[in-house]
Amino acid sequence: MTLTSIPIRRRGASHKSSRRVWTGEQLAPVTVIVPAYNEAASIADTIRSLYEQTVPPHEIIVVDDCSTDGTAEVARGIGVTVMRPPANTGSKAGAQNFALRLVRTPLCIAIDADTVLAPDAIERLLTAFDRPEVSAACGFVLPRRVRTLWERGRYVEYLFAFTFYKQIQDYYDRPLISSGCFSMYRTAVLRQHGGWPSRTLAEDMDLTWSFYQTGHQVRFVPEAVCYPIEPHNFRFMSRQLRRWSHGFVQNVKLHWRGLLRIPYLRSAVAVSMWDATIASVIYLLILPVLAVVLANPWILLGYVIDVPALAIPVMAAAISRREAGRALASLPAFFLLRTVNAVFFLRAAFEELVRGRSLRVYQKGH
Amino acid sequence: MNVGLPGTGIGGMFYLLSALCMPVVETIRAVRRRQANRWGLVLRQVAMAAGIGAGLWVTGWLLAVVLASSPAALSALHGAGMGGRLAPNVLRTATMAISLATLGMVIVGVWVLKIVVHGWRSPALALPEMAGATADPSEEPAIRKVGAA
Repeated sequence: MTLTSIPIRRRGASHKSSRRVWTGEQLAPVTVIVPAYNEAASIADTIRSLYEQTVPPHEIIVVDDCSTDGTAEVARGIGVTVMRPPANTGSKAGAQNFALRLVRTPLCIAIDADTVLAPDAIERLLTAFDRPEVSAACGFVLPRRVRTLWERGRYVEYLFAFTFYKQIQDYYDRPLISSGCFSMYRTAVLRQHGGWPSRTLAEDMDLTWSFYQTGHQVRFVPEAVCYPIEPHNFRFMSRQLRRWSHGFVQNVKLHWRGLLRIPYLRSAVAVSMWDATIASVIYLLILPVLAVVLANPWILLGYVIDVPALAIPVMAAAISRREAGRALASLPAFFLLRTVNAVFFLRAAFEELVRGRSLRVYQKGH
Repeated sequence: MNVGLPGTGIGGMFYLLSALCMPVVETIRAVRRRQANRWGLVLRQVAMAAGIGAGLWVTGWLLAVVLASSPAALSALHGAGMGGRLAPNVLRTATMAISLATLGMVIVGVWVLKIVVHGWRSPALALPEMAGATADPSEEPAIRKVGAA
C-alpha cells in the first residue's frame, strides 16, 4: 500500500459565502473517498473540482484499485492521498471501504473518479446535515458530456427523474437512492453499517435502504450538482444497464421484508418494480405484436406516446438551466435508451427471480 | 421512470398523485409545525404535475385517434359494444381507469403484504443482516470486478 498524505489547502481568493457557517477560510469536516480503477483520463478533473470547492474538504483519498493505466501517478501528481490495496478489491464498495478506516472526519463523501462537482456542491450538501437524523445526502446528477445518442438519452432521463420524481421522494422523506457517484455520509453511521455493502451490484441502493431500515434519514439536495461521465457507446451503456438492472432486483430480493415497514418507500419500490416489468413487456412484446396483428404501424407510436408528459419536467429543468435546445434535441434518444433498458431489465428480472442466477461480476460502465 | 429503470403508466401516475397530495401534506405539516415551510417546492411540483396531467390527456387522445384509425381495431371495438364516435372516449377513459386501478392494486397489495409479514403494527426498525457488508474488502469477495480499458 502506498500512502502519501498531503493536506488540502484552500486555493484562490477567500470565498465570501453567505450560506450557513461555512466561511471561506474553513475546511469542511469531510473526507472525500475517490475509488478509481483505470481512471487516469478523468481523475484529474475530479480532484481539481474538489480543490475548487467553495468549502474544500479536509482530505481527499484516492483508492487506486490496482489500476494498470497510471491512475495513481496522476492522482499523486495533483497532491492527494493515494492508497493502493494489495489486490483488486473486487468492487467499488470494496475500494471505498478500504479507505473508510482512515477517515477521521465526522462526514465523508464518496465520489466516482469520473465525476466533477459544481463549485458549491459540497457546501450545498453540508446543509442537509443540520438535522441530526440525516445520515446521507445526495445531489442532482447530470451527464458531463451530452454528445452521443446514449449520453443524450441519459441526460433526458436524469433531467426528468431529478426534477420530478426525486424531489417528490425527498418531500416524503424517502429518496429512493443516495446516488453512488456523489453522496455524503455520517462516517460513524456508515461504520455502524459495516461500510458500503458489496453483496449486491448497487451498493448505493443497498446502503440507502439499510439506512431507512435503521431509522436514519436520507436527503436529496437538488442545488448540489455533480457531473459524471456517462457511457458514450452501446458497449459501455449495456454494461451499466445490466449492472443497474441486476442491482435493483437484487436489492428488492434482499430488502423486501424490511421495506414493507417503511411507508411511501414500500409503495415507491413496488410501483417501480411493477412499472419496469410491465413497461418492458409493453415495449418489447405488446406494441410490436399489436402493430403486426392489427396491421397498423401507427401502434408503434406507443413507444413515444408519453412524450408530452415527459417533456414537461424535462423542459422545465432545461429552460432553467438555459439548455432548452439541447434537451429538445436529446428527447428522441431517451426513447431508444428506454426501450434498450427494457431488454436489460426483463433479462435481469428473469435471471434473478426466475432462474435464481445472481449476477456477481461488477463491470465498469464506462 | 427512475434512472436506469424503464417505466411508463403507473409509475408516472404514482408520482403524479404524490405531487397532487403535497399541498394537503404541507398544510398538515404546517399545522403540526413539523418542518420548515416548503410551499415553493410544493407549488412547483403541483404545477409540473398539472402539466403532466395535461400531457397524459394528450396521450390518451392520441392513443384513441391512432386506434380508431385502424379498421381492425375498430371492428374489435364494435364487437365489444363500443361503436362509432364513442370508441375514443371509452379508450381514453379506460386507459386512465386501468392505470389507476393497477396502481391501486399494487399499493393495496403491498400494504396487505406488510400486514401479512409484519402485522398491523410494525416491529421496531432493526438493522437487516449485514453479513455481506464489511469494511474489510479482503473478507468480502462477493462481487468480482471486471474493468474497462
